[in-house]
Amino acid sequence: METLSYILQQLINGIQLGAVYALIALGYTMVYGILRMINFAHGDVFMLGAFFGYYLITKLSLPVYLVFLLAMIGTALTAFTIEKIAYRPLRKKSAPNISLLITAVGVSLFIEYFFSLKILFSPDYIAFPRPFEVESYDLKFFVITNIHILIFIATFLSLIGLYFLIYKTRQGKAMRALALDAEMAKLVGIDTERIISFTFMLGGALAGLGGILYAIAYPQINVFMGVMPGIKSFIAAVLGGIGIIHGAVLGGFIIGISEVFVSAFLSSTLRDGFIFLILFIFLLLRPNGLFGKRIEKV
Amino acid sequence: MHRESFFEIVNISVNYGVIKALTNISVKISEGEIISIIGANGAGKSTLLKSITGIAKVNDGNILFQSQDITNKPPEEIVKKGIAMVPEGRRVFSTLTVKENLELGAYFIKDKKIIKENYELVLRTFPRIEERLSQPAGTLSGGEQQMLAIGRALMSNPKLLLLDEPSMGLSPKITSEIFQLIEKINKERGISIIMVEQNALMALKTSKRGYVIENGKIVLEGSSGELLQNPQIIKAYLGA
Repeated sequence: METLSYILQQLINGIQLGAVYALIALGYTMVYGILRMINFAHGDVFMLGAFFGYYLITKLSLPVYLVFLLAMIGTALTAFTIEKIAYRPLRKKSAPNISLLITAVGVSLFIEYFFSLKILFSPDYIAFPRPFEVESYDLKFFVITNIHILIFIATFLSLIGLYFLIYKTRQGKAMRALALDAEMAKLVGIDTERIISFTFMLGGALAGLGGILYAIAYPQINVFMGVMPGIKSFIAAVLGGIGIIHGAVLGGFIIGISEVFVSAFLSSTLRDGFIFLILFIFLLLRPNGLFGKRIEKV
Repeated sequence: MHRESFFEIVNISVNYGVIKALTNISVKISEGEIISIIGANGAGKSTLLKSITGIAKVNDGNILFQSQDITNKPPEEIVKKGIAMVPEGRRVFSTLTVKENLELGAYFIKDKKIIKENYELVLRTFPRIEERLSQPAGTLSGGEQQMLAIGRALMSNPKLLLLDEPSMGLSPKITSEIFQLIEKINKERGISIIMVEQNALMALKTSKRGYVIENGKIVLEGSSGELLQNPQIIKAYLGA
């Protein structure tokens, strides 16, 4: 009985972590879907979400919903700016994908070290002030906190919103068309640059949301906090089949739950190593990820 | 400029790096006309259409549409001016439904009423598409995909329609069905059509005039009747 409730408790914690990974992974997968590029700076946008949240809470003491809203707008604008300054000029010159990739790595390092400056975020760990008191509810088999509930609800609502946007709106139709055939999308009159900006902003907002949720759940923030969650979410996106929305979501939960289970039942030191092992074995079995289509050799 | 024309390509050249894809090409079409551009594979036919839609960069010369210079305008602007493209290989958005593909054809049109009118008109022209509206476009047969690609282009209310190899990969029966529909669209709606084809016989039979492209240059032009009688054409393109 105790083992079962321990397993259930770890499952709840794993879903919580997985939800955050899913939110980040969506940004990787959407950008890959339309541009076939990996935006390595995406994990840092997640970090900025946490820091924006920190300043909105400590300096402005705004109500919780405004903290979320403003931080997400902040990260959306950051992602928009990164795309505009760093990636768009290269695309305009038809740079090869490898140039975009190394630029993304450069942007990532730039953000991390620039914000490490003492006058900005500093390289120190900072305690994140939770905007509300933690409450836990004993449901007999496991304990659930209001943080769990917040993360579940916020992720669930974002996913519904995202699906609605992608599958039911004109903008979403244009995103899907662009992902399939960029040239044809232009030929029907889609301003593809606008859709690309929009996609970056959408991914940025979701990563920002992930950032604050993560900081509320694990309340210590640092400029390098986006590195590992960024890589793991990227793994989640690849695991689900890069470019596929529901793949990124499922991949996020798989990685989050695995990570928590490895920490709980094996060793927390092995945690990160195990995630890579899972990726390695998984890709050997399904090289294109869970939902990725096998690409036929021509 | 001299006299005002509907659509005119004046002496354009297109280079792909050092390779000259098109050299001094001039093509003219008047309102309501169908013309065809024939030539062998790699002669530059597709490049010509790509230069009109803004996909291929024009290095020299001008493209004029309704007395506006549209040379090297981006593709998303060209379609708004009333020039719609049906590309080689159809290129329907395969995982999107047939209906979504059609809606994307009218992407830039804001007026819902106009979209609805176009939609109904397209479905009347292609009743076979109507049965498949909720299906992913990639599941259609080649002929149906061609109809969808033409329907998608018509959703933008074009004045000029560009067709790149509409017969490609289709059976002779479906090909003639497609060509009948092309003629019908031209006659009933007065849409001008520039058609690029390897199937020279079908193309010339459908169009009023034709141009022959070889190695990026126009080597012959004239009425379709004349071209169909021309011994050179018969030998090179009509396989007789």
